[in-house]
Amino acid sequence: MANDKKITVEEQLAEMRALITEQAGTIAALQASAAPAPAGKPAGEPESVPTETFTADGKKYRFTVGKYINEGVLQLAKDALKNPAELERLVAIRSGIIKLVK
Amino acid sequence: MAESIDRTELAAFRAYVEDHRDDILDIMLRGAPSLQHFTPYAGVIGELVLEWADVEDIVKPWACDFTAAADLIARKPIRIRSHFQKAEMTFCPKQDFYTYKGYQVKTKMSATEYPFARWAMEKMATKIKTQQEFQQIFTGDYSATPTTAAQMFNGLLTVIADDLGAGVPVLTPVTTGALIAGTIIAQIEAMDDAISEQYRTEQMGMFVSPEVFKMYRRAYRLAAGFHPNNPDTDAPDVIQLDGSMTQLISCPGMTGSQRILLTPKSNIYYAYDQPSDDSVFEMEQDHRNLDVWCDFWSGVGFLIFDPRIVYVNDQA
Repeated sequence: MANDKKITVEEQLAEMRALITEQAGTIAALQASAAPAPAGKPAGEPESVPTETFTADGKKYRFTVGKYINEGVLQLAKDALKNPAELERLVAIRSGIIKLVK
Repeated sequence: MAESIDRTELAAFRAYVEDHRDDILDIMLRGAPSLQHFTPYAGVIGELVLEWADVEDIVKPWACDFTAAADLIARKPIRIRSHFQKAEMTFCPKQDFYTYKGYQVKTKMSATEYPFARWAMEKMATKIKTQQEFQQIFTGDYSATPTTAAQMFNGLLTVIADDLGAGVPVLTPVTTGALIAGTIIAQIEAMDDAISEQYRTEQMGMFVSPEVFKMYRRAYRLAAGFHPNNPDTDAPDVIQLDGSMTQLISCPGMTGSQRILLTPKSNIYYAYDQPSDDSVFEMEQDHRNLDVWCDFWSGVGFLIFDPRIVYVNDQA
């Protein structure tokens, strides 16, 4: 009879491992299955990094990222370039997303 | 014909390793402190490909027409990688007799009783976990022709720095500015606020260096007059953030970094092979010496590298 077949411990372990691997994939899929990014969060194609430099506190800087999050709101670096107050804030907090241009 | 090689000591050492297999494995493959917070994947030799899915909105007002849209589910591969590595040592157990330690052991004592060789083997396992923590998991920097442990694969901090330095980064940094004692509480909470509300019920880990962890804890103590909430009194390296599922976690391997890494704990994997052989360490006797070595696979990385579930700050 088919039921007479004995399953060895190794076979049981292999089955359990296969199940764990399969479930891990499903869990990862579920975790990522949320709807598109909510407002204020990154969405769509990533923004490219602006090449323009700006001057603040007598020194020249440029952005190293195309977008960043400030107080939960997504900011585009190219928009920040038009906002002197924001640029001064980034320099003042020693933000790592801008780089000193030599 | 009798064999000229006496394998008695070798056999005795192998018996010792077999007896302590689980302890040595635990220290060596799962001992690095930060690994306790990641998702272990055993049995990965080389690469294991899984997938995750990006599902679009599907709920609509009822209508009798059947209007299922195309491409509602985007399936994307996840690659879990481990890397082949080795550790090796040569001991001369009888050297102990020749030094002052000889006075501490009896003549004709069996090899398993040699205190120094046993001690050295345990230290070997401990050193592997230390190197994993401080040279690989966070700061590893891949080289095509690796010569050191640090060059085996890219650590988590390197993966993030490479992405942010790329022309079109995937991640979007949160501008916390430099982390200092006066503002650390607000900076940590600003990171927590960046989490998409859809993931509020997810157990998130905020991985920081021990320096940043202590800075937060001391600033909180100063501001509140008591220590922040600790979810588990046995884990002094974890703090539960107020009003959030996020845990602030101190990672020794991140020392010296101002980076804050925020992601579900289940989103960082630690892949390793699962030795089925009874001996973790291989060994051979070479005249008076014992050559001991260990070949293993290990690797760390992100499962889903996406700005919706991996948040970083703007500091390096």
